Amino acid sequence: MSDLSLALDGPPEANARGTLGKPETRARALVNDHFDFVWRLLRRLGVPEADADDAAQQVFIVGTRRLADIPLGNERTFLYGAALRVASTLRRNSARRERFIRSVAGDSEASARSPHDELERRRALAFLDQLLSSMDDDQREIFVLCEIEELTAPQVAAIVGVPVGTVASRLRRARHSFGAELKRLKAQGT
Amino acid sequence: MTETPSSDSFFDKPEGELEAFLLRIARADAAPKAARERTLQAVGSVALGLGVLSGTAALGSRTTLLKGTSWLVAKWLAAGMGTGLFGVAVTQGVQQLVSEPASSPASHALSAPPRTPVRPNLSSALVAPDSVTAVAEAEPPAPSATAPATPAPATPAPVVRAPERTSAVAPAAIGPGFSMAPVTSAAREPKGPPATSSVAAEAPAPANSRSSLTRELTILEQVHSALAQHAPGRALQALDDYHAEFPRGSLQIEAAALRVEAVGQSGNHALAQRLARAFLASYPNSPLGARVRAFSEVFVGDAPKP
Repeated sequence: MSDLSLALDGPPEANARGTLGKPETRARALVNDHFDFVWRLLRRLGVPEADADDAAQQVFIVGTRRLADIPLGNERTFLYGAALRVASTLRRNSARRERFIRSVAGDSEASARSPHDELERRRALAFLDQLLSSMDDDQREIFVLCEIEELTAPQVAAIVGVPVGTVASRLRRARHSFGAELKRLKAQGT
Repeated sequence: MTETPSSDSFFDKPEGELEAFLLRIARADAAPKAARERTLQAVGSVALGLGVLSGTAALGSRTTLLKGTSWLVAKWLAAGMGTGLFGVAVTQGVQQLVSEPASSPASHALSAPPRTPVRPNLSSALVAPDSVTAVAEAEPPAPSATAPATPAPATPAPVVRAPERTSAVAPAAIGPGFSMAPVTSAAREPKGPPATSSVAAEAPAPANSRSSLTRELTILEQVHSALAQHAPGRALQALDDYHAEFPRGSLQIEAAALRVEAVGQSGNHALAQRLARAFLASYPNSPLGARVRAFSEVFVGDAPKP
């Protein structure tokens, strides 16, 4: 598991800051190294953009509080796992309460995108999220980790906590579902 | 949600290509820089808090993930309840802001709330003892029940972004030991000057359903396609429709940027320039700023000399 996580977390230099000992230094390194991944993962797992900032912050606060429990080099596995759980809790809660608000408000960093390009990008992401929301949560997690984060099946298995075979079968079903939904919506839209 | 994009370039791609396109866009999606900065500040305080509050240090490291997330969940629960962190007075202030009718169509584009949220950060609240978490796990009572007996002073300053989003735990629920006001004001602008009344102008964006977002996108897409066909009148009409239907929509800034283009295309370059300047002043951090700036500079030679 630690070998695998090292691979996931990149070269050891990337974690060198974590060895400096001070919790604050390591916590800041966590954010600097992994914030985009966590934020994007939360978004694709159904957390609205307006809430992704807070949710990501929550993941890192959990990470910071549990720094002592996170083996060096295992940070990303931990954070991804935490993000899955935060997203899942939000989803479950919102499904029950129908309060899953969605907004595209947010300050994107796209420096000089034209309004049109930015709209197009947002539309594409909204459409993608629509496709993803048609999947079972189990499949969605696997699909996002494999297809968007481009992790390997063993890495995903470690994060989600299921056997590699389960990852493969869920991914197969997820791809099928994604393709079918895409086809359906395209047929509907034309 | 059953809406689908109707007339749209990416949507016209063949299935295989569309799938690859969507995944590519998703992989390139990145967090706003400001969000990272807020989180850096938050974890900094939490990490320091672990060192300083030696009595609660063990709590910090032992706090389970479930408890950690429950705070956020509770925040979400409260989102629908309109329970403000600052109590009734401020909530009313926000409602007044929200209910203020927009004055003229021309001002709509620029009366949108700035999109750079001044967001309270959770860190200080999160280093509070377990009691806060325990409270947060409970069902949030109705707003009136959680409002403090003595309402907070009705200063506009503490109105951060969307008070209904700020905290699940109303002051009364937290208890007398935890004064939330200093926590938030410190957490919100740790290094900045005290909040000014301009902060109050940041009226909250309403909760958006997916379908209303789709509707917003559809209208703005009409604006864009009108601009692409050099039909500024149609674009401006669609923008007016947008503001009429979504006075506090999620895409206000995009709409404002599109209006600059539409007005410019209509030939009123002086107004376009004025709108552009107002846009840049209102949204200095908008990713569309560079585009608007470049666009307005085209008109510099055309603008009448003051």
